[in-house]
Amino acid sequence: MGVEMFRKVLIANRGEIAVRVMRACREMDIRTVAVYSDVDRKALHVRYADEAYPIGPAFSSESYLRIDRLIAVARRSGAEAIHPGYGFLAENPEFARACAEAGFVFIGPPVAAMELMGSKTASRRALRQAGLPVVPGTDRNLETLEEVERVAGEIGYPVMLKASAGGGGKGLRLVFAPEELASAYRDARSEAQNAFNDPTIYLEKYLERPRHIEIQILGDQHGNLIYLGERECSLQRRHQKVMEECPSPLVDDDLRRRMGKMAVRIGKLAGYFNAGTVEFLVDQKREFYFLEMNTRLQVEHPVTEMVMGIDLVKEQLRIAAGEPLRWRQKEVRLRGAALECRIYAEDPANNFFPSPGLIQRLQAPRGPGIRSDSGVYEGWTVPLEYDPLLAKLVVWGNDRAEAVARLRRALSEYEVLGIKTTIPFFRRVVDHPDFVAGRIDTGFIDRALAEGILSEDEPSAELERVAVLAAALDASRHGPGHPALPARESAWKTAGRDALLNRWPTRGT
Amino acid sequence: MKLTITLQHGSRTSERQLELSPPVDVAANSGPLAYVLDQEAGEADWAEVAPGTYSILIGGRSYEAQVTSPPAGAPARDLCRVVTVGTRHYRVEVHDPRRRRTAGSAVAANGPQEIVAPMPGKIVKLLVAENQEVGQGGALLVIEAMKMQNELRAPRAGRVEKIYVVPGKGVETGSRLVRLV
Repeated sequence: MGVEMFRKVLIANRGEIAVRVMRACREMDIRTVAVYSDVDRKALHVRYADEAYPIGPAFSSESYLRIDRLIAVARRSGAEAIHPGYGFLAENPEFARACAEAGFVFIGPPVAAMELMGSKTASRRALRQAGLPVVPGTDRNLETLEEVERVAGEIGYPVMLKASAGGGGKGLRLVFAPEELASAYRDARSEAQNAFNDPTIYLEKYLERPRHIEIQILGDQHGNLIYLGERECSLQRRHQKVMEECPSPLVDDDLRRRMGKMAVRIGKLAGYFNAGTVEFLVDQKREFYFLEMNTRLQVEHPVTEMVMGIDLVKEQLRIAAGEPLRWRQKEVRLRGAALECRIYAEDPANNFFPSPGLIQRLQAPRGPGIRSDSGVYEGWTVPLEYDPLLAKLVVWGNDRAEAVARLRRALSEYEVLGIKTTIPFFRRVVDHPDFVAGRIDTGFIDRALAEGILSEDEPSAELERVAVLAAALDASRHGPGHPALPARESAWKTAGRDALLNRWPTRGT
Repeated sequence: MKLTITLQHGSRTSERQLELSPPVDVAANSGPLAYVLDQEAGEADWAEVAPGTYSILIGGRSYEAQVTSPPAGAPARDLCRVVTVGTRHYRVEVHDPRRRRTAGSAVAANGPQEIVAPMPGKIVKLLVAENQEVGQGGALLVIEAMKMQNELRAPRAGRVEKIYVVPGKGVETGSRLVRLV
């Protein structure tokens, strides 16, 4: 079909996803336009893009979330379309509408679908009315504590209080008994108010040891909508995903077909096109219930790409340009298994405390079946102001066992020095017998941490010998306090400079 | 050449005595080495393959060590090296016998340690009081940074001798928070 592809696309995002989208554009001869805040001038996505424009100070609300500035850059650069990535404005219908009104193609679903699925309560209500299975609970916002108590009594404990405008694990409270409800309700409301500026709460039944399994859907603007298998996202810490895989060890062909068809029905109900994900909770009896829909490309999309042999970002661009889908449902095939670890700048030994700062050394794994989607490089200083995701490590194997062995090998090769990362934590997870056996649920990680998965290594005389020799060699050749890599600074100098740069807000924002 | 070396890994700290022969040639990038480590003699072959990266062969076994400086804000940053061997990180201090010995090692388990802020933030809550004993990993205070509240934990067991901050106080990278003895 003679559809003209975009010649220039603006990527309204930063970090690893901006680079990933730009890679797809480069392969399709589409020129890329980056935007950057004051602390991102040296960021990888700026270095990678064909054009780059500043959009304001570090805080997202003054830069990456400024719709007016993004539209202005699109105009100035002559971009024809805008890819929102994930997070930031990706699921903001106001942004999608503003793009369209300004004459730019928003690479994503229609505004109406974003509005319907963006509200947890509205989407639940729509599905319930259509007779589709949702996690038992309310589809109305609950206004008073009395209402919450009554509904909780009807649904049956344990219940989960959830922020209606919520996401990212915030505004959630799990309540096991009626006595805990009142204080949990107060806490959830205040957290929701702080995180989303909206304290409204709804209620869901809490399924015991559920598995979080989501279906990738892809639809064109001609009414074709297919599902591209599932992703298992049960490995979560405090309700935030840390590891994902495709396919799910729990899902057989029959369940995949049933969940996939349900996801397509839901997508059609919303009038959906482009890429999206329908999230389900699956209980111990392998019954599945709609949890929510994400009207964007997801962080964990690479595991689907590796197993399906499809580049989802390229398909997003094609669909947005008006091309029909290139596959029919029966042509979709899974091959092998893929696993992904989200590498965060956090210190697992210190309760996952954020660890921004200078990356002194970075060596990502390589070799067969490895994919590394990184937003950082050696010598980059990870800023404080954004989500601390550094990179995604994705591996593919002919089966799950090979993928796990490959992930173990890849993690042993991963070197990051200067900041703390979650890599040591993942090294322990891949050795855990339940993980190796695929016996995972949403409580696995929190339980493993409580059981001491991060305990210290046994001492090794041999490795200590090596460390002592290396340090002595280095000291003998470079002086007692000055190793060769890189130039040292005193802590005073660094602290003083940070104060001068005014990294922390002292003025009103 | 005799060196005294303090080695820390996790909660364990030890002092080692190392002799190297021949004395290391500053101009060389590689070579054979004979060593005596705490009275145990051995032979090794070493090569600096990239700045700060050492390939060390001991009895035919091949290892690689990365030598770097501790991150900004870490205590006694200018005296220590961080040596990474495989997946383990060691903090190593090499005491040069030609310099005047400083009072107390930077990583010694019994030396006083100033716990500093690893990044700018605001103190939300103190979880310990002065003179309180803490275990390794014990929570000291809650600091708000990067839009999240986080607990800062004690790197080793000890007694809180002094608390330098109060709730509500803003801190910079490297600001002293707690003195642990």
